[in-house]
Amino acid sequence: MISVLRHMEKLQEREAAFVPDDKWYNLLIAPSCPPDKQLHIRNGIVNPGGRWGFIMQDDFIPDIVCDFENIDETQMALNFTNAGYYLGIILCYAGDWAAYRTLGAAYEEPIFDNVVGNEVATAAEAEAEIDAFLNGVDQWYYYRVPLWGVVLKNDGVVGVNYAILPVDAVNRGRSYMYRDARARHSLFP
Amino acid sequence: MITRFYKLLTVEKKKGGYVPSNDWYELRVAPSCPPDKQIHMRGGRVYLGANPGWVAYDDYEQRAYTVPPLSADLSDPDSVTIDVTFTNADYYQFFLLQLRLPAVVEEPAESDWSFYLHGTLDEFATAGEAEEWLDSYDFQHSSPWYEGAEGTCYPLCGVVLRNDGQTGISGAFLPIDMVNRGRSYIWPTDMRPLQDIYS
Repeated sequence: MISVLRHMEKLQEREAAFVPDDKWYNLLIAPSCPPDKQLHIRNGIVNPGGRWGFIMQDDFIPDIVCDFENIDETQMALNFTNAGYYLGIILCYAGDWAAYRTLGAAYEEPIFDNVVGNEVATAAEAEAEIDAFLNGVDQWYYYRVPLWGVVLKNDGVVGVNYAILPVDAVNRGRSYMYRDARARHSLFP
Repeated sequence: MITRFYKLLTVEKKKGGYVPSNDWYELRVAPSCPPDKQIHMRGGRVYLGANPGWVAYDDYEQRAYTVPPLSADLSDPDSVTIDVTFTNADYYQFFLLQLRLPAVVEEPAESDWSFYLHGTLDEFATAGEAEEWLDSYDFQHSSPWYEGAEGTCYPLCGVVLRNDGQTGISGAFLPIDMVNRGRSYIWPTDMRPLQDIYS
């Protein structure tokens, strides 16, 4: 028993030297606990810029909270016309916000420039729209920092701003985080 | 002893919160096992741009793709765009293996994806000479990913192909290994632009 214990301790000591890929955690997103209408985005480095002599720089973005009840930040009223419907979006940082905030300019809002789908009756349809955006549909990937595909569900109230259910990490029948959309393998973004 | 077990359990619980980075494995290449003339690429998400006619800045296309797992058959021009043929027995040629933009831009099927073998078709007596060329500034900057025209190519890896003794025949090279075992091999094994200036 003691030898097994010693063996396990040795394995853990060896594993302690393992350094996880911290880049993976850059701009990783989590819901609130308990869930509300916010998403929490970890800090990270983005490199806005790219093509044809366009501005190129590193930008350290701090921890940011996306508040879906703030239209000034998200540019989305989330005012549904159909009760209980779903809206698929790709949450993205706005290009100007990511590019200019490091230059010291007062460029506070909007923080987000999201790719927004249509109001649909089912979560599967909203997911399909996000999948399509992430598979060549529309040239939306311009001057944005893509973060996450999110499915927002209306809370039953129509004609009112921010009428969505809280956002979960997975689909529990409310709004939820659907899939990672961060740009890891990229050319000329 | 109970304390030591408890400590082990606590560390294991902490490790349970660790989320491994799956994007490291995306678009990673590997040879077949046992080796043949194919290279296999894992699927993944990629953001590609294209400038089909070297046109103005505003016409630059930018799309996100979810690429399925794909296999490049280096002996098949339909798969890798070019025809690999040797004129000198047992000589080496060098290439960069790249993923091309899909033939259909919106929601492409698996068959719409293809690869591009970028090389000069020069042949060398030794593998070292081929590697030296692969590593050269001039060659790497002659790549379509640098020029941008003809659709963007996403670089995956370098390949040194060794002729199997037959000349003037398409696809006459030895099976591809992960390292140089005297046949064809992948080198450099990873050329994905993970830390590039444009991403």
